[in-house]
Amino acid sequence: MKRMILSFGLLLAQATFSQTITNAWVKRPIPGVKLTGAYMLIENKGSQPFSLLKVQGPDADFYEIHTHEKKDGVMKMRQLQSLEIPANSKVELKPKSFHIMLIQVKKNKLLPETKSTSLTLLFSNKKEVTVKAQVLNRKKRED
Amino acid sequence: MDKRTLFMTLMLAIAIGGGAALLKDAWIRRNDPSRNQNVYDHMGGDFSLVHKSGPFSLEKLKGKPSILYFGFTSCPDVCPLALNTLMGSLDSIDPEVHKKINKVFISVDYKRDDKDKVDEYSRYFATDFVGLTGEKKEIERVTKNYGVHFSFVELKDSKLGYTVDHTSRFFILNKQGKLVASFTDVKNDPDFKKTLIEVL
Repeated sequence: MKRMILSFGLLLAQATFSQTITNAWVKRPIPGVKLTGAYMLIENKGSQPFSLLKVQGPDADFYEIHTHEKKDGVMKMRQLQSLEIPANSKVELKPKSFHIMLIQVKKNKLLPETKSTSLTLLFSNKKEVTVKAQVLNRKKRED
Repeated sequence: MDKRTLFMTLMLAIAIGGGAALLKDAWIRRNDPSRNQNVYDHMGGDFSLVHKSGPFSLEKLKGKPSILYFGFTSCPDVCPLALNTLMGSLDSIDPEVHKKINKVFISVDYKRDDKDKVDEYSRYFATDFVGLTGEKKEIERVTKNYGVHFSFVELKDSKLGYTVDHTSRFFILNKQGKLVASFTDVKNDPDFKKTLIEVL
């Protein structure tokens, strides 16, 4: 019985914190620049909010959660300690908005021939998720 | 209150209201450079910045129209997106048109961006893109003259150390190097293409 309650509890916990990550991608850095951004769509299918706390990966020394805001025509970038994904909703990390910033991109990483990489995301519900991310060029001459 | 007083009071109210509306309109126009041509007469002008090849002043841009943009190379997406959008927008007029225009990126991050870094960064967007930087005093002067706001903001817990808040706007100079217009949206604002065709 105990085991049943426990597994039911686990099942419930899983159902409450169900998260899916899609469309993960990393922008190939501009030559000479050791910074770039990573983006994705995080969906919370559960009834409880959770937060993205930390990101890690093989390509840079540091990964930080940042956001952008535009005020009176001035662009401002700020670091976030965490990014909340409210219950039953999606948060998109995209250019000019929420993004993961890769700082000190390592040598021989995210090269022109690199097709994909990985990102490991740690959430407030103690879940650690590793996703495959495509490495894409900045759309040259396009928005 | 007799009829005459009522009429006078009403007329006065209308006059005050109308006057206030006119003032508000003038205020909006004064504060938005893109809506007021005359404002550019008092903006822009010469500068002495640095290119990879050496000193660079406004004189070097004369003979062709120019588009100026102020930013910094550690800018993760605002600057690259803006510059990519600019190139796309120029191509949509004519794929060859960008050759007839000086495209200039001025880094306001005089602490981190040297001339080689700005040059490499700028040439990513077009091989003839001009990347400039300069000393603190000159960056402060040129940004003030072109109405560009920038400020260094400490990011306490970030490995970046600091970021640079900055105006994202394109400045159009005619062949004589005179500032004639500025745009925040070079993709959808029809006046951007109209202005370019005028200065070409």
